[in-house]
Amino acid sequence: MKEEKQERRIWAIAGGKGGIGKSFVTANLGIALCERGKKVVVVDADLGGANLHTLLGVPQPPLSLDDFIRRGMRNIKSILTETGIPNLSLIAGVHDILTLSNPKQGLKQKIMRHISSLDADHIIVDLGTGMSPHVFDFFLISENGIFLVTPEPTSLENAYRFIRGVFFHRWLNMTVNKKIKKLIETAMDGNNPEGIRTTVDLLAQVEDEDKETATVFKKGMSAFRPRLIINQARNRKEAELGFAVRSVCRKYFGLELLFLGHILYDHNVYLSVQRGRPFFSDYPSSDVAECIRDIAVRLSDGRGLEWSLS
Amino acid sequence: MVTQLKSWREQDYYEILEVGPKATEEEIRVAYDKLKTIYSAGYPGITVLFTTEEVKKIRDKVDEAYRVLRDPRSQREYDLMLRGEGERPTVPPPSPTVTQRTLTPQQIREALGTDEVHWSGETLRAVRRYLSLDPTEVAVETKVGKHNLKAIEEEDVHALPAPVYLKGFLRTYAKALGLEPHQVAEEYIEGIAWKGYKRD
Repeated sequence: MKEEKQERRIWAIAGGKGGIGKSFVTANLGIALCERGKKVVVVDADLGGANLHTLLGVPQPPLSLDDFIRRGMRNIKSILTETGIPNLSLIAGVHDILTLSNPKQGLKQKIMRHISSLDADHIIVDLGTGMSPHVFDFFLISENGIFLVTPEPTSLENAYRFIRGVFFHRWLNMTVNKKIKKLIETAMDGNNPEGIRTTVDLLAQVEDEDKETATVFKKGMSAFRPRLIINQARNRKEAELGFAVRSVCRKYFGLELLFLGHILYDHNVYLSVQRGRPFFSDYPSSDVAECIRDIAVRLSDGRGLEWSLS
Repeated sequence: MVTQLKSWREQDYYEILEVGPKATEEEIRVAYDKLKTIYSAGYPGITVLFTTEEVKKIRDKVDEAYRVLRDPRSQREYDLMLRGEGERPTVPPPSPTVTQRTLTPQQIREALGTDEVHWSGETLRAVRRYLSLDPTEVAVETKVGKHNLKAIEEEDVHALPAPVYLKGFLRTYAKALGLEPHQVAEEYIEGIAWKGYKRD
């Protein structure tokens, strides 16, 4: 029972690009963890177009994050929806994109605080598309972010930019020093005239400005260990892109990223989404399901891959 | 694998190869192979954060790290240096498969001490010793196991692998020594037939 407690984690799933399968992975990773006897809640925090319920094959839930925020509800439990899959419940997303796609910091923290109070072994938060500050904030508040990347060059490029953005954003939130905030904002533009390119360059500049802040930044990074999943890999070579992304993060950011594994491309994923059925229920013994199960095991155990895919 | 917030410019050889300080020979080789592919021109997404120039520099550094760590002697020296107990070792030369070597007839004569060339376990060993390569080194480079190399050099027909594998191993080994692979494989296999090794 003690171990169960320790394992409880919040996973925010993000990736710069749209249509790379964030909701699909959220839903099915949730099911895979349930298969392992875990209690799981999946949360649709895609503030720009919620659809997680469709991927779980449930009708539009009557209550959503929307109600929780607007009506100032006290307890987030009241908006939990059963999914028909044992031990898996859902918090449906917001539909009015105009008012809430960019919530205030305090509200974001309130949402995350309530989400983390839920009684579950794993809570998976689907963050949706984009590289806006609010996506970065949710990613960072959750502490355990998962980057999802597909093998297309555009997705890779977005992923690197996303990681860079998250990294700088994390530091931005860690200081009140105006000069340093300014420095970070300058560095966020990759082509800045100051020539600050990498996080290591930036850290050197921060150190010049204020040694203490630099120490705080360094300490803050040791707890930051994002995960990585390659989705829609068509072959081994594409799956191995995960090693490349991990290596670039190590060499460019000096950041340790855990590569959880890959999910193969399968047209049946598209078909199951079209039918509005959970993929795991229709194709429980497919290669894709196996891939997701492997990832679930590594997620539970806190492990990543070394230099080989198995 | 990585000390946080250290860029590749400051990373030590283990960090450059992204392996632990206790990595085995095999782990080091696998990591090296993967990294060589990742830091090559045209690899997807590699120039999003790095310039082409930096990619090349990283690749060179990966090469350098591998050359030091795969050689037990320079690795030991390097480990001592990391602990502050010695000098940085000189980087060993690239391996035979990296610099595609080709032996001239004159060199082969020198290696064997005779004009008559017939490829066998004994003559292959003579060439290897002439090049002062040790079996471990050849095994790492060629990816042919040490026990197979030993069986080849000793012409131990009971320990030799099946013919389809043997042919491949012989060619790879010959190539690493700078010899003509097909001729070596043919002559060698013909030569051990009398010992009861079946061709097919």
